[in-house]
Amino acid sequence: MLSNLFEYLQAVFFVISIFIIGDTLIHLFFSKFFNRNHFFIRLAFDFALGNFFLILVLTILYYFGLGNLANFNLYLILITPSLIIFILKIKINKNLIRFHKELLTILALLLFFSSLIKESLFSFLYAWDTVAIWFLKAKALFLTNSFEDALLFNAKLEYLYSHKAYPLGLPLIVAFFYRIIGSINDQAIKFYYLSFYLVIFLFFLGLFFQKKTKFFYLKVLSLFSYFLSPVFIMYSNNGYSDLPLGFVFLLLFYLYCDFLENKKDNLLKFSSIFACIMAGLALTIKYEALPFVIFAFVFFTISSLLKKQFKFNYSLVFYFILSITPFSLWYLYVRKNGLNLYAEESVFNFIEIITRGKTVTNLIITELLDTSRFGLFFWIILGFLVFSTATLLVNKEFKKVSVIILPILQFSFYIAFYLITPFNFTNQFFASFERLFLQLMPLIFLIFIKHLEYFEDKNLI
Amino acid sequence: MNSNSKNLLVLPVFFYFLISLKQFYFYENNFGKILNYVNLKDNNLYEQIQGQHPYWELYQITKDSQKNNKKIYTIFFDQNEKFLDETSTLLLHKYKPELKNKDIKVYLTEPEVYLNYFMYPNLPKEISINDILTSKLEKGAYLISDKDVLLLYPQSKKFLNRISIKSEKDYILVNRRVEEYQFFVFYVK
Repeated sequence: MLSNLFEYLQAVFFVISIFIIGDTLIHLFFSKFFNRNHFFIRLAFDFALGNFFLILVLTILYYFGLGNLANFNLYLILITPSLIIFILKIKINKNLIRFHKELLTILALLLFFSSLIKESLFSFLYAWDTVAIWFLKAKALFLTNSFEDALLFNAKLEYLYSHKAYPLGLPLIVAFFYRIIGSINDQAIKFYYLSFYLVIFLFFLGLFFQKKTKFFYLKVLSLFSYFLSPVFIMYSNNGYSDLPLGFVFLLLFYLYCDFLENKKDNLLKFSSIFACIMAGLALTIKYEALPFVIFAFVFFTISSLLKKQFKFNYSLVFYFILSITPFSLWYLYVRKNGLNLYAEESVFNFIEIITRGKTVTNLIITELLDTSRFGLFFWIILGFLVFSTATLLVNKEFKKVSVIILPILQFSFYIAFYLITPFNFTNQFFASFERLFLQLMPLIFLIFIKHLEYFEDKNLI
Repeated sequence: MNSNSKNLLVLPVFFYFLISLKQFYFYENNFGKILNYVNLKDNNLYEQIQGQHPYWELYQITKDSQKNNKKIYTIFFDQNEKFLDETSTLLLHKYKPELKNKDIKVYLTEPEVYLNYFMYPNLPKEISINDILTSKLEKGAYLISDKDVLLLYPQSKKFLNRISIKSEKDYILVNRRVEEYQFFVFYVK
């Protein structure tokens, strides 16, 4: 009798399929933009785009009650052409041999994280929000063909704890995996969540390989010192959506930095198109993405107005509409069916906000000082960033400093969230701060790398 | 910049890298240990892994109830503020305006969250102690509680049997905050 180990291997194939689908889309529509990027950076965008595409298709199907089409046949329809194009591309690409270093790096990384991979594939669900919110939604979507029909969403007084209005991007992907294998395997699919963590490593290694400098090894050591901290390990495969969101924030932020640094109209156009797609993907993961996306949109708009090289293009409007489609459809459903967000019940009391502000500040400092979670290296990075930002200001590098405003604004939003929450804010703080902060941690590391490179270029260290 | 000063920077980072690596190896040593308790070649791999779940018994009775059409009832006595579910309480009052001036709170414990997940799309039925004592539960049904009903109400021994819960599974999770919550499972004789 066949062991159902095959289901577990299918989770790995499924993740590879997401890469292949994304890669094919990039190959067909955006290859010019990614030709200049390292293979690993492209892999990160492959994965993000593959996810966005699947979420877009699945949201449309479920919104229109066609969830029955989200099955193994759809998977075949999506993966077969992608696979053919992918294989043809490999055949045509005579320079494939140059990838041997990259393939060895991937293998080494997989080997290094082999225990974590085993853990993600062969352990059960154990985290509260995963069971209460994300995987419960995935199960509901697996068992039904439309949002309307899912008991979870239409039961008025039941499952109130499951935050019904939260976006459905990742649960849709998980439900699609269940449909492909024909049963609920909430163990194996945790590998999908781990992939976000592994791809963050690849992305940064790609950055280091792309611009190989004298501090290459320092950067690699920093990467591992930072991302091996317990908070990353804990959230790497427990089914929470915060690290995947952190990954998308990272790519969106990278595109913004790229937009600022580039002068060619063509590249600016692609940066903004991809930024739209990443923003759309972020919105399908968690509502915390909303302020980040709005801030990023404002930043992109201001920067494009200041850039004479940037020419407005109508294709940008098309991609903008496409990007917000999954979020808009779900939000329409939420509004139509009166699914409430508890944030809507927030309290705006000035005295209360001031009182809470003091406590929240103390809590944040105490929490971040907990090196058993965030690691000691986090503080080294933070210290360096204070020093480097001051140096950039002294050297009048205002453009480079300006990018820091984006994560600072997002962080301020998190603080504001505790100041106005309708719940016991200290309880909520302890229940959520570390994972909210986790959303910004990959991005903080990117700023560190950018500043380090500036110091290198200017021979300041 | 000369190579000496470059090394000066690499060395402390290498030191921090070693610290991170040490922390990581703590997890590394524990991760994947679940494979010691399961057989990858077995056709029932999912169930085997699930067998190490802290709420394995809840999963099992859920499966049994679905397969054999048995009912699952719950009775929770503990109203500790620790288990107050603020989201549900807030939304319940919003959706039921008639509760406006009533101090009704919703409590949610980890076993309930898991039970709801395992049972979806069905839900367990909440019952009162009076229902239990007046033997309103059908034969073969399950009862889940946060207290030992047999100890609290010895007269229930006539129609309830306790199912033993293995509180510590062989496989110990290292990367989770354990909610110390005791629960009891009974079946109706």
